[in-house]
Amino acid sequence: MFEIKDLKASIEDKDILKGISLTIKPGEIHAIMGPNGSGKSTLAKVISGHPDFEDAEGEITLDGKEILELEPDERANEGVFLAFQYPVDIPGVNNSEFLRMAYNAKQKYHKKEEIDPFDFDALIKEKLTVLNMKEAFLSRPVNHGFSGGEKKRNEILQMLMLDPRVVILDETDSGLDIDSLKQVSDAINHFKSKDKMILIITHYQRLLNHIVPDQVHIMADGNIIKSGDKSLALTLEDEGYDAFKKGSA
Amino acid sequence: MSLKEFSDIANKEYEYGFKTDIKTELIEKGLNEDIVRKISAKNNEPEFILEFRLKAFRHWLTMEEPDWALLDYPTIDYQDLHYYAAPEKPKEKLKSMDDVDPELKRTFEKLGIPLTEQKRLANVAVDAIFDSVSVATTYKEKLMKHGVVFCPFSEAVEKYPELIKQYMGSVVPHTDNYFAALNSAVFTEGSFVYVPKDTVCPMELSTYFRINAEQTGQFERTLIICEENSYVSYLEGCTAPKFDTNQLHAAIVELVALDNAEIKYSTVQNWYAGDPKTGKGGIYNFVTKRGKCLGKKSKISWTQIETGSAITWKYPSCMLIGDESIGEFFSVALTNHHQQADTGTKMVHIGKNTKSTIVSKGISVGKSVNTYRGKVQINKSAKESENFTQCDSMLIGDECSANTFPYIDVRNASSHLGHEAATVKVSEEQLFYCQQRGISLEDALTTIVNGFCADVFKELPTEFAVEATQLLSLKLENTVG
Amino acid sequence: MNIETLNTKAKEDFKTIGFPTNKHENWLYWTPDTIQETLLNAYSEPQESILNSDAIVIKNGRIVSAPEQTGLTVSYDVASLANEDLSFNVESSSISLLNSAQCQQVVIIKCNQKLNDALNVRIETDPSQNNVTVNTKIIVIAEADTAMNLTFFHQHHGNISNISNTTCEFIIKKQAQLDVNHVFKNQKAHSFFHSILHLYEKSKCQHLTFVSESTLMRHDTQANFYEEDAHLDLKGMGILQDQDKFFNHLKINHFSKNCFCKQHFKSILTQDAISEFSGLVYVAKGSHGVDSQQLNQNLLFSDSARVLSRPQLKIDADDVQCAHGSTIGQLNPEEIHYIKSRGLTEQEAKSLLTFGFAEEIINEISHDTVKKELTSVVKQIIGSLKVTDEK
Repeated sequence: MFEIKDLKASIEDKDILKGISLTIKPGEIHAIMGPNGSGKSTLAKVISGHPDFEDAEGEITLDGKEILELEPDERANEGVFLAFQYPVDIPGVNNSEFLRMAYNAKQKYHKKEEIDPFDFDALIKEKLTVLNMKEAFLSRPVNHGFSGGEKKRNEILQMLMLDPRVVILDETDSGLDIDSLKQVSDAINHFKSKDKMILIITHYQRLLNHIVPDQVHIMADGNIIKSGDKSLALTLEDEGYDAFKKGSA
Repeated sequence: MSLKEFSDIANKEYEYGFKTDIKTELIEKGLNEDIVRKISAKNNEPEFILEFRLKAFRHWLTMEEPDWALLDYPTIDYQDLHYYAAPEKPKEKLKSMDDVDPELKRTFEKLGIPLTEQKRLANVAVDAIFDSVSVATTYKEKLMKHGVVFCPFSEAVEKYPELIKQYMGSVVPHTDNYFAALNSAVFTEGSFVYVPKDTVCPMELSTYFRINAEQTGQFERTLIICEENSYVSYLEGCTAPKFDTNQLHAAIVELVALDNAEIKYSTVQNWYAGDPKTGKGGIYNFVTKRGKCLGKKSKISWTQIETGSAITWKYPSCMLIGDESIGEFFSVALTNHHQQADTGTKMVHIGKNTKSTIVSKGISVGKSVNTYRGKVQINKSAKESENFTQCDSMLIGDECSANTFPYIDVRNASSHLGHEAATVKVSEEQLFYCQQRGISLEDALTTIVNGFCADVFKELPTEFAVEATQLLSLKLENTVG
Repeated sequence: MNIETLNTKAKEDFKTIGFPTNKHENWLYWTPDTIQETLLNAYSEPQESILNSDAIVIKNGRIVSAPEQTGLTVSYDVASLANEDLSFNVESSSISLLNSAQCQQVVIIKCNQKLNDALNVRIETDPSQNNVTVNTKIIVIAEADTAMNLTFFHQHHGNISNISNTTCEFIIKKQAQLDVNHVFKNQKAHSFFHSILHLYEKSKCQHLTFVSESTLMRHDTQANFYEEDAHLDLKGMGILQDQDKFFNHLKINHFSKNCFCKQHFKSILTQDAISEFSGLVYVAKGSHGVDSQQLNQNLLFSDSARVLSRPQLKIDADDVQCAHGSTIGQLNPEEIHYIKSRGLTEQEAKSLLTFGFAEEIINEISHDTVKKELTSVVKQIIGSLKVTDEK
């Protein structure tokens, strides 16, 4: 189970998260929607341990283990994955080798053997086909020279390879054309299983047509102001955020 | 973990020092004509070598030490040095690797240095079977089968005087600069390589295999001659930390490539950098390295990974004389603590259709100063020539500096030149991205820096490339957190 | 402060430093050895009363006429500069010290509001003697929140033995905007020109220098960024022929955060011309967020021409973006062929492409009239260039 209790975070004396609480049970998909400035991306950053939010308060537990005090790489090795909204590029670092490093870091953390290069090769090629990505991707430097859509798909490739327990998708749908959106959604649906927990952060309803959430939460001004099932997203699309904001006042 | 923590550089102390009772045969201190003669006599040198030394010495007396505004070092008293020390009697050897300082052992392991080599470097008695002398002898025999000569300079003077006479000083004349003149007067040992026509040297030549590599010469002299259609790859240095009580190193390296020949010269240097807090005690490395692409379509490539010395003053150069010849320079210079590096290259285009490529990556950490100084000169005669230069600087932390000073001089209207330089920063976002993928902060930094150096590392012979990557991660250790 | 104190101090400083020699980093390729005597022989003329005219005219170092316009003050009252922070000289050239030591007058152009119309300034060197140096010193002050557009026409009349030694110092205060163009044309003599720029918070400046037909031109520019968020766009174009020599030195000092500086300099060389570009960008420790982009491009038409390019960086702060680039080459033969295949001659094709090369610099001039004028000047010069060289 992935639990967030009363999470507060601020930056330069400005409170961004004002007490977020959320529980995702294994097998569930939750969606968070909200206007710009609601704190959605900050929530993703705080969960993954971004250095800007070292002073975050509250509790985040994964299967009972407190992870708020852990370093970002430790949280990742515990099974938390963030698909970045704006993936950064790392010139000169080969995409495939980077992934193998990440994979082996997790193996080492769990006191397992490093993966055999041939096995890794086979595994990554399998995942490439799932995302309909060409092998040429592997020899390019990480995200360098990638189009927006390619970067987003690279994030999903990494997710498939690292096989995390908790996945946070930070506006993965932004910048994707219809075909890419379908491929990414298919990959995530394929990945979804009884023990995975997925948190989708998005502006728009359209991704949720492809990846159907079990719960939808609306965030505004650092708080979750309403939660409901998937129909809430449709209502939101019809009525806009203001309707809900008024309701919560 | 923020980038601010990068400026807290933990001291990587080199705590081990070899304090053995050395009984050596020394000529008295100082430098005068008498001493030059003594050096020559001790080496049993033929007359022409003595003449070479004396000519250089007399010229040195008329010269002034160069004054580079950006390097800061205490004045060297040239009369206060020993210019000759005979090979030491065998030192008291340690019985096994267990007796070796654990920190030194850890460094060797981290650098992936093979055990026999570890033993030699740590002065451990080597088993008869793995005697490094006999290992070297085996390789020498293999080379001789192909006609390739690889031996100490002093041996070459004895066995191949005609080649020495023809080529020594032809690439770096003693008049070239202050340290070249000094070296030409008092050079002690060095390497000689000769590759005959139409021969591809069967293996990479490495200074590991020189029999008398026990002692680091102050004034080494290397001469590599590659005849028509031949190829040789030469590796200098090693990643193990090198200490020397001799602070001044002024070496000369001369390369000559004839028609269609190719010489690849790679250096990985990890000198002791001096006290991390004060910078004292480090090595001053002033080297003149030059290659002459004499023949048509000849090629000389310099690849260097420099970390370590307190002061590095090094400009491997190429004279592109033969038409269609190619000169290349690939360099990574990492400075940390109080180090100062002033390094770069000189490419002089003389023949037609000549091409040069320069890729220089400077990484500054701590309080160090990293300077690239390069010169590209395309003479009037070098029609339809090309140069491409890329020099990038990476600064880590708030107290270091990076400087780029290129000199470009083009004297004909049919050539192309492109020069680019950029400062690159390791961003917090890049580090966080790597961490979110499970990679530790320290490994993330190494990965990003390796990515920065990728264009240079790929030019190194494979075994060196691996060592270089590991060396970099060792040097970047404790830069973070 | 008065003119005498300025002269005296500069004289003393020059005595200590002396003339540049080729041991100086910034004077490797040419030094004023043969003209030292003339440089020390300052020309002087009495001051006449200032007339009214559309343009500001400064002749032989003295203000001759100026327009009457609200928001614009033109004077030579040195005392009014008491509270300003001025350098008077550049680091890279002691010839600027000679200018401070020998100038008879400091012309002050001050702007107190947003001036919409472009202003022309004519700097004339026309002494009635030979073998003398005319020293002109101008201080331009754009007060906070003002805007001004100036084009300086530097004109050299009369005997080629005479030298122009000119310094223009610009103070661009908080949120002020200043567009400056310098045009040097037909200067068949020796010219020394020093530009000094001081940028304050959120100030914006565009500074363009156009040089052609100059026997010898030495231009030293120094830009100092003192406060945050300032923006400077330095541009230059040099078209050199015969035995023209152009030495262009920049020193950019970033003493503050988040400033942007673009430097774009192009040169076209034919016959025996020589062009040197040296651009040193210095970023002081703590000056984070600085963005500096430098580009030097050179087009060569003759094997006897020579290009020297030294883009340099000296960086002491880690969170900066600094890049520089330098290219030297010729026109693309494919492009020449394409144009010829449309019926133009080789000369016409090359002129067209060369103009295309030059146009990038001129195109960015903000003021339309100025842009038009300069465009036609450049077209005319390029049209008559010897771009087809016998091989």
